Amino acid sequence: MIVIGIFFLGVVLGTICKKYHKIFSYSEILTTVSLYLLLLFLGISIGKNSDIVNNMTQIGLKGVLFAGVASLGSILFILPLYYIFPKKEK
Amino acid sequence: MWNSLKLLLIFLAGIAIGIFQLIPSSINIDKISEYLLYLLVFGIGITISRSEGILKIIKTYHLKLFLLPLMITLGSLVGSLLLGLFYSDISLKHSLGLGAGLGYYSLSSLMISQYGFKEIGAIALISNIIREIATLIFAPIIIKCFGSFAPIASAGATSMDTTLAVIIKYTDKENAIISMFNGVTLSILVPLLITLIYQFL
Repeated sequence: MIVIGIFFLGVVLGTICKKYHKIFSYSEILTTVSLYLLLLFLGISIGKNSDIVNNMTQIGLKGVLFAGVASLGSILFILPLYYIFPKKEK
Repeated sequence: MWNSLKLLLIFLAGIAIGIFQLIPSSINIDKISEYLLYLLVFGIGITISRSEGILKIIKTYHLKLFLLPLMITLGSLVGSLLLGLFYSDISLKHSLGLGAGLGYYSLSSLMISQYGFKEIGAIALISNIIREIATLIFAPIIIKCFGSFAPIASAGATSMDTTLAVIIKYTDKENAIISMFNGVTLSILVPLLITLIYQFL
């Protein structure tokens, strides 16, 4: 819940300070650095957990399968939209 | 694609550090991660507010534009839910959580991990990265088989930045605008959905 609140705080701040373009380069740096660190730490906490490490092939396989079904589901669900949106087939 | 591979490498480096215990256990990684996640979503919020003209796009294309992200989200959730039925160790909640990533690998995996589910977080990271990489590689084939909206659907939230390049290249400019709108909408939806799923299910 806190995450959502902070997220929208960022949106509001960004909208208010739109004129100060510098804020966007700062937010760029902020997101990049925190993202790298977070992924590193996620890796570390997974590496420390021997249950997960021993399961790595299973996790990888599940990742591939879930990517497949989620993408395919999304693609199939948008197909009816071609009838609703104006056609522009070439 | 290089960018997502770089992130994957950082993640793998982390796993190696964890396995070989290269970091003192006195450091509370989970606590630091919590605050880092706050910083991350704050920065993401600011970045998203920059995508101008969203309202303009909605006006031109009418509200039915929302149908695209809506159907993409439903498709992902239904697909994941169905696959989850085959796994006894993945509950309904986690199946939905994995589907709700919508290609937003960083935020979805980190949020799920923050709720204490490291393994599902790792699966979310891998599966959502694959969505991006697969879209980048297979965009031409996907378009040929399923039309110009299909790569937007397979990409999910990344259809506003990383995969936008191939979507523009292989379709047209109008599609690119739809793609951007979709990416922004899904990026806002991902943290909402994951919070909803993990807070209330």
